[in-house]
Amino acid sequence: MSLLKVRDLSVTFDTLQGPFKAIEGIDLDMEELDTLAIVGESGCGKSVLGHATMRLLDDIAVVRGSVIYRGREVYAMSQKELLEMRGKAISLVPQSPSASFNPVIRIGKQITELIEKAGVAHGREAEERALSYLDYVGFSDPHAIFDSYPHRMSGGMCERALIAMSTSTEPDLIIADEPTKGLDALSRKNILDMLQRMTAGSSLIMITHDLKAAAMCKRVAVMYSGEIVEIGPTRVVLEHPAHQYTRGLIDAQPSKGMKPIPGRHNISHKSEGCRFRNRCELVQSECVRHPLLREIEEGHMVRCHYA
Amino acid sequence: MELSLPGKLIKRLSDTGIKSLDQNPLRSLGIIILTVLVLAAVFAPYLAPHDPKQTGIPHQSPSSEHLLGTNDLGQDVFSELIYGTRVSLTIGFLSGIISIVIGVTVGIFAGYFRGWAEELLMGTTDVFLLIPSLPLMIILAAYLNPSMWNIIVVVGLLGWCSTARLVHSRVLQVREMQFIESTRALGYSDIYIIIRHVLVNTKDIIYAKFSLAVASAMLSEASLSFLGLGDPLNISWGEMIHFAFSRGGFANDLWWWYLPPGLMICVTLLAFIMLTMEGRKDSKILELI
Repeated sequence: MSLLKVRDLSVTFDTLQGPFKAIEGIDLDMEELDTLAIVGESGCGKSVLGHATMRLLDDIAVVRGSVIYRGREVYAMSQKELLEMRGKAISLVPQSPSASFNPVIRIGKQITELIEKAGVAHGREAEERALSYLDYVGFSDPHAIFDSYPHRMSGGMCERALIAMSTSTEPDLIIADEPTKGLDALSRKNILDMLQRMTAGSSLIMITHDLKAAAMCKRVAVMYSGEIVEIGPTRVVLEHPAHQYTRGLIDAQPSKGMKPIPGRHNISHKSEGCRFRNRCELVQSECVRHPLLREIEEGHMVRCHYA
Repeated sequence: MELSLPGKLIKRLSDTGIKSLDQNPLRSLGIIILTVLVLAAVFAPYLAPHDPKQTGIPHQSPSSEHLLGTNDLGQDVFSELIYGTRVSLTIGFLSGIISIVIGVTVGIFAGYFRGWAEELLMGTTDVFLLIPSLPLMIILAAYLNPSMWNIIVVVGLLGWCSTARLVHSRVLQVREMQFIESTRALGYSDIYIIIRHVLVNTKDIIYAKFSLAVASAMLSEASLSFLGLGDPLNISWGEMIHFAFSRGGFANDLWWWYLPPGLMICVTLLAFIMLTMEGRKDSKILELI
């Protein structure tokens, strides 16, 4: 049985300007100890997908499709089951680490509370566990961090503490939302090494727009305009991309000369046909028809008529 | 290890804000005044030189025997004032607690859950705000028995609206903060998030509002008592002024009878307001006053 199965997941937001489709027709499969990176530019629906997986979206979001965690439909769970699943079975490492802790409660207390809530350990034992996880994520003085308030720590330190908190309950699946956002090259490398170490016993979905970070995962899914346009083993996708958008992303990296993708991502306007066609250099007549995600080789799927 | 314990204790103490007092003379003064008043209320039987109910020679002016003279029944005004502290502070605190509990509960639930709960709760608050509260208090106090407890309930039940509005707007702000979403992602229940995270981040406003609520409850009580709706068995400061007014204290200009309770009301209200003063100019709490 696979760990997580997402089938035909769509999220529509009811906005004042009318319904807005954030993601559409997402299919994903995660096995135990699998790692998947979801990449794409801002506004492509990466974070919405992460939140929808945990049923965290507000009431204004209309969610269709299904998310099955260990054979159980997440959208059919009772409130109690849902609360038990979050934090214990599936953990989210949210964006903006500095803002993700309660500003008036000490870091250690917040981690300890989660451990106790998840029922992993209690009292003194939970505190010890929190301390040891702060130690695992590489703090030289875990006791000082344990007693610190979030505002005394830098963004990178908060990220570490967040990862310590999210992994302290030993979840089956960790969803890390842009863990390297706003960090310089060295801290990014440290965080990624640490993340890899900390999630060795779990599955990981890493949401990022950093292809370097994505490279540490076994598989990569590329999202564009609310759809997965390419998914496959990391080496295959990053070295032999089949979709023109993936090629564009790879060429846009600083190490590849920062070549921008022409045109702009129009998030509000979604016409029929291939959503990338107004920016695609290889656009042809067939592109007015909406392409389906099809397998071009073992485990490598692309949403393009010509790949 | 033995050395680290006191250090930690001092750190915890300084976190409670005691250290910030030397930078905030107004608040320190407020705390000192209130401490004196509370001590006076608690130890009234030991501090009062006479039994306030004991009668003697009327209309005596202040002397060493009667520090603030006597009233028309020959009762010692100074002793009456000390016992009045008890009544006034009790009514103020208890009414303040009632109004804060109702206001905070309404504000938090409306702000956190939004939707129909917000419509219902804040709509009710608006209706209560529309009612002119002093006339309603007078009517209620007049129809109910003149007892201290009825005054506490009436004042408390009519004073929560502004607290509800204030807490509501603060909670609207807090609930959109990133860490609330993160906390939800960790699987905490709504009630837990409200108590542990929302309430904790609203407490500065609640403390300040509580102080002001006690002050305004004391003022309402003084108004009701001045109108003669107070409890004749528990004489508060407001009632002292009422008796001074109705039994000729003003007419005969017996200043030692009517002035002290009035001053005490002013000083106490001022102390409660000073308690909410923040040293920093950018403080949210200044906006409350």
